[in-house]
Amino acid sequence: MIDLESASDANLVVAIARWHEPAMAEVYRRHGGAVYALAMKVLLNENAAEEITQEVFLDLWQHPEKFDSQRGSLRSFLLARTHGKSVDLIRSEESRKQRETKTTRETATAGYDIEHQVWDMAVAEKVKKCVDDLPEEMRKPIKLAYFGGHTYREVAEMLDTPEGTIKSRIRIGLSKLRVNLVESGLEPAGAGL
Amino acid sequence: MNSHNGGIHHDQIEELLGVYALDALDPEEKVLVERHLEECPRCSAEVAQHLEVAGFLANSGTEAPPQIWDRISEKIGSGEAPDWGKLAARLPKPQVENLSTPVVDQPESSQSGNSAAEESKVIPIERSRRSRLVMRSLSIVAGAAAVLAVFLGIQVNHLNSQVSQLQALSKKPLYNQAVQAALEEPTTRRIPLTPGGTPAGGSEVTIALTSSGRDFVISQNLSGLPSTKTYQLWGEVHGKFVSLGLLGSKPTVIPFVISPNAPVQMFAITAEPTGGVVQPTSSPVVQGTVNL
Repeated sequence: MIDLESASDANLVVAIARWHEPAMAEVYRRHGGAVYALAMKVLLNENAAEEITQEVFLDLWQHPEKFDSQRGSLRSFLLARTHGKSVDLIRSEESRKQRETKTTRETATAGYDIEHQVWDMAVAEKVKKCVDDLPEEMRKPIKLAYFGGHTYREVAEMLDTPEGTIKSRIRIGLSKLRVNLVESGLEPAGAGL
Repeated sequence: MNSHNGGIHHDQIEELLGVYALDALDPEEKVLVERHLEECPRCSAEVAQHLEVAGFLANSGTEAPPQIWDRISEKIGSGEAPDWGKLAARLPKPQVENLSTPVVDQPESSQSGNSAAEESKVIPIERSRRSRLVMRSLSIVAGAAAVLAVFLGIQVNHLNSQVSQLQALSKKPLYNQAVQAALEEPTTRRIPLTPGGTPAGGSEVTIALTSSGRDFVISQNLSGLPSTKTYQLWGEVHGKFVSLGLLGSKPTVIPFVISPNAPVQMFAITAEPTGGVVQPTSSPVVQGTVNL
């Protein structure tokens, strides 16, 4: 038997490639909450967020080879796919209308690993501080692009700032945020330059 | 760097990497960046870093909603054991050199192109081989014999964390006796694995396939790997490589389980990052063809 709880994410993906459903369940248990939360933040629609979450995990089941543990963590891989799919959805005309009807939901707590939850919340607190420490001129375009699902051209228009400036501020802002995260004890993975 | 990509300079693409990681590009620009990333490791590395940072932005202490898992589970869990053909079909061909892959007949529909959709099509298995192969859990699960594994109270799997258990197990006299007995069975087939798969120079590894399907990797002189690496065993099925398990950084005798009917055409061992990979990322250290 695989010791699922102690297996690394990379181990679990190898097992998923061999149709090991319990490994898939463990990956969902570890990252399903973050995936769903991101989809909710971007889509502001419960049904759409559930659909995207389902799609992201089914994609992993069908194409585990797309995850490369040398290039980054499984969580960032899943979140990147979640974000991409969510943004595609909100950029469609139909869902823009749906998005206007914002919904929220209470999340159940049963079954979630309390240690993971506490850890995630502690990390979220630190991340919030790191984001708050960014200069507003960088924080705003990052939030509008990431959580608002806007293109940088739209962000430039919204902030009445040249497109080139927005591109640079987002890029520099992300690098600066990385430094803030490292300094606060959080170590983002990702291939070194 | 001054390379062009669709009329755009490297430094212009670089400026787009942050917004690319946040999915904030127009579709046309996104295509240009992705084309550039395929050939620029430096920019790929920067995007990977931005994606990690973006992942932190999304971090929250929310529970994974159980009802979504129920739907996912319903879709993926047919309740049937997977067969080798499907298992192989879900893996792309490895992008490594010197992995000599026999030519495999492809379905007509997949010969015209190489899109992801076509890659993922199931390659039909001959009817005689279509019987469901018992691949419960991970295939490197049990030991030299199930009886022995139960007796020792150890169920061996292919994760690195269990490799040390395996090595400890291999020191047990009972285990050695079981290996010896299996090797002396007249029906046991031995597949020598050599660098390049050629018989010259003697084998460094032998795969012993028993009639019970409880098999062994016997390493004569594989050199030790650093702790960040592990040897990984692969079986080639219908032109694709299926992981048969991790062997650790200094394997000696490692048991694994494979159905006697599994249509494995070749075995190969590669050195991979600890934790293993879904498909080979490096050329095989040793390999050997199975004479069907």
